[in-house]
Amino acid sequence: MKNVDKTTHFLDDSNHESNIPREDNSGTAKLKETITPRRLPFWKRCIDIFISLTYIAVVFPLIFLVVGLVIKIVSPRGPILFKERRVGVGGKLFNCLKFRTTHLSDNPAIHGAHVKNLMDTDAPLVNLEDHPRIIPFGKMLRATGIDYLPQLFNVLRGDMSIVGPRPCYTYEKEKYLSWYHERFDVPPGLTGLWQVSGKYRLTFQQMMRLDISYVRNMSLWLDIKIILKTPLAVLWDWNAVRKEMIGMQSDSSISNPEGEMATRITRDFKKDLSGVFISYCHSDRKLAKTILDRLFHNNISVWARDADLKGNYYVNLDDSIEQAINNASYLILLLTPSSIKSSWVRHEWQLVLEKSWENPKKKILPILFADVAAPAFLLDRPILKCKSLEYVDNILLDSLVRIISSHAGTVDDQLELLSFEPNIIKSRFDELFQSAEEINKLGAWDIENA
Amino acid sequence: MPSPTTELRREHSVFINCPFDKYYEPLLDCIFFSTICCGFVPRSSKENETVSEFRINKIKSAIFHSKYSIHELSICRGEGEENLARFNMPLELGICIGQSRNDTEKSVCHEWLGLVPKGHIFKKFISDLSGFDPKEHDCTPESIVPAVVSWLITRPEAIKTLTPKDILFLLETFTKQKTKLSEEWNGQPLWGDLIKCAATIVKPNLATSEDRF
Repeated sequence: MKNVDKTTHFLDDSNHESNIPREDNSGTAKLKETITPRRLPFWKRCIDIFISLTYIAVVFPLIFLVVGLVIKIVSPRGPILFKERRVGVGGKLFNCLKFRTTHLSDNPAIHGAHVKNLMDTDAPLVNLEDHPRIIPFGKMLRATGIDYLPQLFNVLRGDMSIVGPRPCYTYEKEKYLSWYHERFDVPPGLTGLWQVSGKYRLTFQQMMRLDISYVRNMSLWLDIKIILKTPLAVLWDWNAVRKEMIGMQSDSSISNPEGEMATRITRDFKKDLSGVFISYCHSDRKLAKTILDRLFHNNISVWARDADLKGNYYVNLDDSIEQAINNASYLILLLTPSSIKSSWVRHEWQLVLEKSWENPKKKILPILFADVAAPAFLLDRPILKCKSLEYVDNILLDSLVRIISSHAGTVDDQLELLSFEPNIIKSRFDELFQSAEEINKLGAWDIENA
Repeated sequence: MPSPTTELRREHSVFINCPFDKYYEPLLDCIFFSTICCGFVPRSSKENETVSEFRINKIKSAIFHSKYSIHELSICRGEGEENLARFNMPLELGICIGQSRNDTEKSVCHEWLGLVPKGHIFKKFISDLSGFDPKEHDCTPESIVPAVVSWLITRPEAIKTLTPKDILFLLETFTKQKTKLSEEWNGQPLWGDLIKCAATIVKPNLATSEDRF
């Protein structure tokens, strides 16, 4: 196994290159020399065999019949299943099975160019769903993950595993940076950390970090968590496609599966450059959600850090926060007893302040809860006040919506100026002058004691 | 060596770890002046010119009596004919990080800010800082002042202050007066006098700052 420092590994491509044996990108033969696949734990193979055998024996025949029939009806030319060359464990190529969701005349170069574009721009990994190459119902098969089910045969053969990194295309691998190759240490998976952490809403780099994070932290418990989370992730994907198909607008009143809040928020802030960023402490997430829901309900897009993303899977949260602040017109700061003590929140304030200095059009909207002393940088600024942490009243929410909807650049009736005590400044500066005197005495100490 | 009196309150003190060479003086001025603007007392080994004390003891004393510290880590290349690296800045940063580890005890907790040159090269010359988000700058006051002020002003002990733009404007006055002081003291003005000089410039402007919304 390669011995590479974890932290630098994720942060700097140049460092990875210096730490990891270099490969040219010529292909598998070269890669085999540098990657020694990890010996897989016994429990993993047991899970793979058990799940794949059960599915193949019980569910697959029925699915094959129904899906096969549908594919043959909507696209009679071509097979039901098709084989695709993918890169497996240790860089070995294998034939990956899938239900056919594209027309037979599909040109792989189109997908290759799309993948290259995603890698270069590091944009969210959107599928080429609207491309004419997709057969009718193909989009649905993809969103529900049914097209992947034949890969259970690959799992049974040992080419793949139930949980693992996303199987990579051969042309995709050619463009890999050297540190990406760590994902070939384990077999690719039917599902994985990327699939349950946002999938197509994440960027290529984020996918790589998640896949490598999985390789490094692989455990029985992590596999179980991913397997359990997969149906929810599939449900969300399917739900998104369904909404798109029937032209539904997002409605915050629909009950959300776990993680949907983060998902929707991330997606919204990407497409809307005049959104809202909300900074809150993890323990105040319920409160933040109340505010988010109200803003969503009024078609105001919001980005907020979700605790699930924080730190767990090496998603570079700092970058996404900075991007969100850059994109937002309004920066809401929830000032609660917990948030003012949180060093992470303070870090967000710092970024918010810097961005508001760079672009004065960005408005800081602090919401102060009772019994909280406002931090110094908010003194003399308009602020929204709330009586208690438990009860965010409609007046506050309405005024928040009104300010943001109208892009009010002036002080609103609902906003109060946080008064500051000039005496505090006076006494601090008195202290500064006295300190200066004390410091000057330090220098004179040896003369006095000579 | 005398221990600081109650006037030098630890939670209002910021240790400044910056090269004192002429070349880096503008950086030091920016950090020093921004610190005063946020209501903190800048501390450094320079504050105590006594010759009867080891330099490292002066540094330790200033660090241990500061709750905060700012570290300018621009020097990363060899210098002079022998192409030697200067370890002073990383050494002082190390002492501060060592102190910050003790953050369970409120009386000794320590927070620090690292300032590094732009372009992510710090990940090569001090890769252990990866993940600590040191602030990047391009050695101009326009990039250093916001970095320092945004960090200090979000500390609980900060006072309401000016915008970086206003601070940059006042910084010019400070550098002029500092030059005068230096001339009076043969190039070695007293650290305390520099604090008084900066505070005299900042105080009247703080009281009349306008609404910035």
